[in-house]
Amino acid sequence: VKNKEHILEELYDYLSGEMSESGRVPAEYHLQHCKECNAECDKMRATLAGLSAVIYAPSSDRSSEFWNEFPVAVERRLHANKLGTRASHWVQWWGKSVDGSPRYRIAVAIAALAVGTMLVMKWNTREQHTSSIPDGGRIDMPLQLVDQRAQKYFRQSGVLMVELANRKHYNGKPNDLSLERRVSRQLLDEARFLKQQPLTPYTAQLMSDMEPVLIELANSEHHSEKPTVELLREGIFEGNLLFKVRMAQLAYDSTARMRIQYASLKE
Amino acid sequence: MTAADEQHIIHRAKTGDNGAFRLLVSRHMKQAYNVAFSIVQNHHEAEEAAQDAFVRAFRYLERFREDSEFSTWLYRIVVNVSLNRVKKMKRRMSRETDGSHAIASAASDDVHTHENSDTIQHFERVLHDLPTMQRAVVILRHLDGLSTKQVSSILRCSEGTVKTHLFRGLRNLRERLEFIRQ
Repeated sequence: VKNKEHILEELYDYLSGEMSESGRVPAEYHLQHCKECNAECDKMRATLAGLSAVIYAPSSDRSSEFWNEFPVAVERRLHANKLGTRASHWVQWWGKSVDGSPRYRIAVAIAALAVGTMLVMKWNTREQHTSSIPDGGRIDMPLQLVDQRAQKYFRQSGVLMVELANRKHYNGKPNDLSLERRVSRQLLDEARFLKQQPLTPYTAQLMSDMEPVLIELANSEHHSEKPTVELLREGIFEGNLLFKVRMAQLAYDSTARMRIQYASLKE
Repeated sequence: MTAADEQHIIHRAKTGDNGAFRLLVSRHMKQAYNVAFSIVQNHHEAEEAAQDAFVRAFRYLERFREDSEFSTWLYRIVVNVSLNRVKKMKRRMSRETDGSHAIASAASDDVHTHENSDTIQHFERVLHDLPTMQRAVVILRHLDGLSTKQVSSILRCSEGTVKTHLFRGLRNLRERLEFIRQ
């Protein structure tokens, strides 16, 4: 500290006792001879005293349950973030792979989706033909009814998965999963039935992917503790089930819509 | 936990060990929350900012070169995330209301209130009304007990700038209080 210069910006270090000995001695000398800095020093001392009384750690406002849940919430975000990153990678890949204006890229994406839907429908039709071959204990159903039941199955599964994925933060109380457990048992029964029917390989595979989560849920205790919910959530995120179920739902919805349109055209 | 322990945990977290990262979160979450709160002045936003910062820290952990303390590196992320949230809040508020003062008054509804005298409440209000950087420096330096060097590293500015913000922040605080008392 030079004695002729004001030391206003050094006052905090001086008052908080954090100034080194080599800085403190000239600062004290300066304060003795500079009325302006001395007055400022007194005012800052009073301000700091007031500040000490009012400043607090906002974290102390939060409950211990909040802090127990905090790392879990961060992990949940990490999982969600990974899904988002994957999606953004796909978007980036799409941007790099398809040249042209954004409108052109969107048009190509829509066309690809339409072709995909048609392929699914085509596959369904092919499966319908092969399903006419009699099989052991299998109950053959009209393809339209199979599709309707699969559509309902995926709609219910979607609701269940979303509900589990968005399950409220663990608040120290056991989670009541009785309703979810009942639904998961119904879904398992339905999947067992549907697997006997002509399904696309994608649909059958997705049902098999969902099975461990549904079995885990169906076998959970009446009042499930946190680890079960976390385990289920992990299964959903790791298997990317929310996205897959949603896609299956969309495919079955569009198939049903096209069937209605086709029927109205025939009329 | 010693510095060597923390270093070991960071190495494990860098290899993708979620358990190690959870330990880091548990160790630094309260301080990160306080840092975020000092900027956003709102419990909900502080929670969001602190959690978002941890997610980013995990994602970019490879980039942590260990030439500074992990906490300093982490708080820098918290500060960046929080400042971005403040910008968004201001944009949102300015769309919803004409006055930029709304943020401070809205935020102050959510802050801790003391049962002490009016002076303390004035102090609180005035502290929250300080410009963001001045308030952040005052709180980081005075409440969190971070050194000028640490604060400068977190805010990516020189130690001189930190001292200037600190001095101006404290002087602003005093002048505003005097104005209220008059």
